[in-house]
Amino acid sequence: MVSMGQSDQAAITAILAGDTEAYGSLVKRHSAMLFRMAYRVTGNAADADDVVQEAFLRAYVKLASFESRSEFGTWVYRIAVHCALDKVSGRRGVEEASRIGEENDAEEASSQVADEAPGPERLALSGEIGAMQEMALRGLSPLERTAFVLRHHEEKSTEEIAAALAIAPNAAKQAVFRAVKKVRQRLEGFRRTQKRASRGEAQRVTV
Amino acid sequence: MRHLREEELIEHYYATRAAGRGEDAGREKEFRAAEGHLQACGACAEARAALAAEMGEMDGLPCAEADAAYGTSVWNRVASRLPRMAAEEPPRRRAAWGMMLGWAAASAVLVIGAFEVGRVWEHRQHAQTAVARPAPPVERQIVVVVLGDHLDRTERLLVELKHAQGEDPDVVKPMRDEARSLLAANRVFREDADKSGDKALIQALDHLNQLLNDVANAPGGLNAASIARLQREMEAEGLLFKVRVLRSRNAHQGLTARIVVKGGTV
Ligand SMILES: [Zn+2]
Ligand SMILES: [Zn+2]
Repeated sequence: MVSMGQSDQAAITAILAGDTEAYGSLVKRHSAMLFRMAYRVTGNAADADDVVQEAFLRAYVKLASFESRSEFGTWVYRIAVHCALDKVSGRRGVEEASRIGEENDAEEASSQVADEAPGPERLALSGEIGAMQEMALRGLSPLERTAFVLRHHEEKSTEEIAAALAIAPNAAKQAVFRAVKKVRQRLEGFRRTQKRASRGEAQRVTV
Repeated sequence: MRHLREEELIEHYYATRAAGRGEDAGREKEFRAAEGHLQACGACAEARAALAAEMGEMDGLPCAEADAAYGTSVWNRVASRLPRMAAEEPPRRRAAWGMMLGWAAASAVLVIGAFEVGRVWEHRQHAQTAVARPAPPVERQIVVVVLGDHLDRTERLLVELKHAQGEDPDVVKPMRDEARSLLAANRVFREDADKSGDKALIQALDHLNQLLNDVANAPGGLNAASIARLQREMEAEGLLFKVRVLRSRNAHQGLTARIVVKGGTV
């Protein structure tokens, strides 16, 4: 039985020799791993799916520059991290552009790409599973969010995060620190809201 | 005795998690030193427990797992978008232009690999007809266009059009040339969009096609009146905004690379 690394390498050799179909085996083998990461970074399946496709397109186009001494899985994962970061950065770009209405067009000002998510207060009260975690991450910059998810959920080392984001290890570490601090502040904020709300409930009940 | 800073606690927290998974977390010395302090210091131990409790809550971030069929579904969608590699077509079926296209595609792939992806490559080549035949050489331009760049260039053109006044030939001529150049790529991406069924993209590319066509081929050329009319159309359709939304939505779908042949038919 060939190891995964060996069969990846065989597929790459075939693709570079012109056998496009061989790329299918790489895509099928690594899609789930990329999707999981992309879902956590972007927070929704549609964006995650875009990221996965984009990553495989990029990887294909760059395949000639892939150095066979590294693992294809690691390599394409890093590409996908980059795409995911672009995705969350781009999303923020659109949201901001539509709010500011750059050129002051009536159309631009009115067509808001609305953030449909409920505000933190409502979420904290709703007690939806997972919603609080997602809200806590909304306060992070795209870089912080990506670094945090890679560290906390994807269980990557600082060095691996730095390599995927193409930044210095210390910058990756600082991004995680900032993220953890912000996440803690937001969680603390939700807890206070919840407490206030439950006190309010109690008073209403006793009146 | 110095207490652990929050950063050190965070580092220690993740190192502990890594060790729990049986990974070598590295920085053995720092790890032991921090652990020693935590054993001895109640305040820091409390801070660690609070951090661990809060970060533990974050484990509940929802995650969708891809099912077994997902990889195949990705491949089905990715396969049609891959730029072709030259060796795909059997050599005997290649006509002179086909061969050229193949080479152009292959070199485009290499160029894309070598530089940061997301630009336009204009790759001019003279079509070489077979040496034996004295047919006049056909000048054909082969262009590799990436959707993201097409949208970038289109946006720039729209902004220029929006601010254009009068009929200064220094402004009007480059606009017409650019519109002509964008038309061919727009048609190719429009066909792609059809296949993908992306309604917003289809609609925007249709409107763009019309506008580009008007800019490129306005009867009587571009003058103050036709520019004003185009500006109104553009405004009414909200084209500039649509292009911007598409562009950021497709931050890297922009990578869809297509080969566009201008001049001559394929
Ligand atoms: Zn990028
Ligand atoms: Zn202490």
